[in-house]
Amino acid sequence: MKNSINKKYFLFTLKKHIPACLLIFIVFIITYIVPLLLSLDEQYNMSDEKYFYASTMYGGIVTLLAVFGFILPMNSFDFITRKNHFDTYYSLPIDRMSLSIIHILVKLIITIIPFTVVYFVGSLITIIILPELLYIYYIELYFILIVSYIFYFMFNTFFFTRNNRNVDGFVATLFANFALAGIVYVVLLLLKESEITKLNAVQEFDFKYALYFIPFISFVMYGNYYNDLILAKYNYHDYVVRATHSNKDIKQYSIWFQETYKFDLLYLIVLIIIAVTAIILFLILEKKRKPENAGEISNSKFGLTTLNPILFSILTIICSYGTSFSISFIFFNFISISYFIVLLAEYRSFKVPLYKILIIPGMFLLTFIK
Amino acid sequence: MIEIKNVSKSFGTKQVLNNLNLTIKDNSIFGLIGINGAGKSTLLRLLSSVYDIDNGEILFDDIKYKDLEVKKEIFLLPDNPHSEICRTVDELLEFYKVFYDVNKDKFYQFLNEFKFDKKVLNAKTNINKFSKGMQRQVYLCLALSIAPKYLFLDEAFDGLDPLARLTFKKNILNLMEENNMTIIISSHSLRELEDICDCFGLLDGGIIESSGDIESSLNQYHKYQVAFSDDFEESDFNKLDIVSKEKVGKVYQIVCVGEETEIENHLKSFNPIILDKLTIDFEELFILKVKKEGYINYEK
Repeated sequence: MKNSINKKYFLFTLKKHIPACLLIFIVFIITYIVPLLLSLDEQYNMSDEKYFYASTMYGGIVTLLAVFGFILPMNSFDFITRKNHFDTYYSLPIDRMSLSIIHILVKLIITIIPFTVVYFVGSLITIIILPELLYIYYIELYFILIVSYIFYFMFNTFFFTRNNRNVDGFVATLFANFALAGIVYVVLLLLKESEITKLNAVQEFDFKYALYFIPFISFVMYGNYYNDLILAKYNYHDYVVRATHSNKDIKQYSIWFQETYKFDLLYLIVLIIIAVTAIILFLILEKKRKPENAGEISNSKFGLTTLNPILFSILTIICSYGTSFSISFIFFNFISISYFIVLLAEYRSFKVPLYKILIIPGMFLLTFIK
Repeated sequence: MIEIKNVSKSFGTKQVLNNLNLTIKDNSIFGLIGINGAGKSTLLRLLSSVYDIDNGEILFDDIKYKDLEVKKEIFLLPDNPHSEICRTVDELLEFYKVFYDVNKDKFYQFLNEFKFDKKVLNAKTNINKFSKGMQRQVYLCLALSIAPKYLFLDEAFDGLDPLARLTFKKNILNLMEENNMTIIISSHSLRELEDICDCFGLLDGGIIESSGDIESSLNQYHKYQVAFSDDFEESDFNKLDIVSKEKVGKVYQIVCVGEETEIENHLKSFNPIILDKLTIDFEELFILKVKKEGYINYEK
């Protein structure tokens, strides 16, 4: 097959990343296994009154996985920001897409393998300490985290690769992580204020819906959800102790349990939809990549040049909503200065296009129109 | 054979190559020359499919330039190779072995020829700490040990000391003969190119302004040092096709195009006090050619 993955290059790259893989392995151990072992004594000697000390301790490793999902795409595609890197890579007898896919695959592998090992070793240690925990949910959470990681990685890959410089890519990827949620939030605000909703007397909008559009939210939500679920039996004991002390009926516990452990698949579904869109766009736009633009001002519609005004305009609306004139003005100053700093960094000079400057008075109007 | 047909490439509003046409025959060394920013590196990047062409066609033995089968036979040594990709000599060889048939023994043999001290350079040496010239030599040895059918060298002599230049020239000529290679070298070291190139192409204004074999191009030009008595007037030169004229005191240095005997007879008809034929080299030829385009004006 003409465009198949170059296996020799894949194995070479994988071999070259063994030290990095070992480093990631150590970092995972430090953030998960070490704190777990340090808490061992405390957790093992729990008395009935101290059930609330029960903990899975996986918060660090899950956070770190999300951080890798943000950082490693930048490392994988560092070569797109330098012309001499392109000279080497693109002159090689390897398909460009194959090259990109290998770089992605290797970075995913060198994180997923150590994560898997450390995660399950950690969960085994936990089950030894806390025999009543519900181990099956560790497996469920593992698959959800891996799926989230892969899609989050691809989301960030898309936005980073739309820029021609490392700094632009970093800032744009960071902005992209919040831009979509910001847009949804603003739409909800506008709907809340619109005449239509007022007529229908629908005044209550759940702004939590905006959270679904933060691509790393599934790490937080599912991490917390499964933490509670895995420790449900301990939480139950804890509840009993508390309920006994406060003379509450144990029946209330089942209501609390059902409400507390409500699973919401929508976080993952929204992430997959966003990431699949990003993957499709990546596959289309990567073929049109112009290596001569490496190191130049990023001009992609999905890059910093678009995300900068979008994010700061959204921030202006959100910060000025429901606040007084003076507070709004303070926010406007901070936001417009931040926007201008990013703009200068983007163009690396004071020669910024006029229409980009005109966005600042636009923000000013947004602040006071409300 | 490499055929470049009506190739255009622009960066934004800047047109770098404009309907460029060029044919480079097999088993030859082609010198790509031009002033800074003429588009030499761009052309080499297009040939290596680092960049995509806007218009036109590039064919390697009738196969399109981006075909992976063709790319397997191409090795580009850029002006500034991405050396961070491989830290040591071993890593460098291992990396390129993935894509090319690298002859490791020949690589070390070439390194010996470049007089690399074995204490300085071994398999574990960090090549990123080398000087530009030393790094260049390592990469040249790599290119020579791969010996691809098509070898493109950008600023080949940049950073090389005279001994390394000599070693490189000797080896590249031997290798071309042995392996039927087609080599394109872009460089500003025209005296070095003159020694090894069969033909050249002057890139200017986005097109190949002039090309051909170096020797016959040089034979078209005749350079004289001539001095006349007081009654000579400069207008007497008008019958000659003079491309360059310099005057120091009473002595003229002129470069003419045309039949050698005719030029000499014409000059002799004015009873010159001095009439010496001087040799013209490739560097002078280059200056004469770009002078015509108005980049240089060295007339005094």
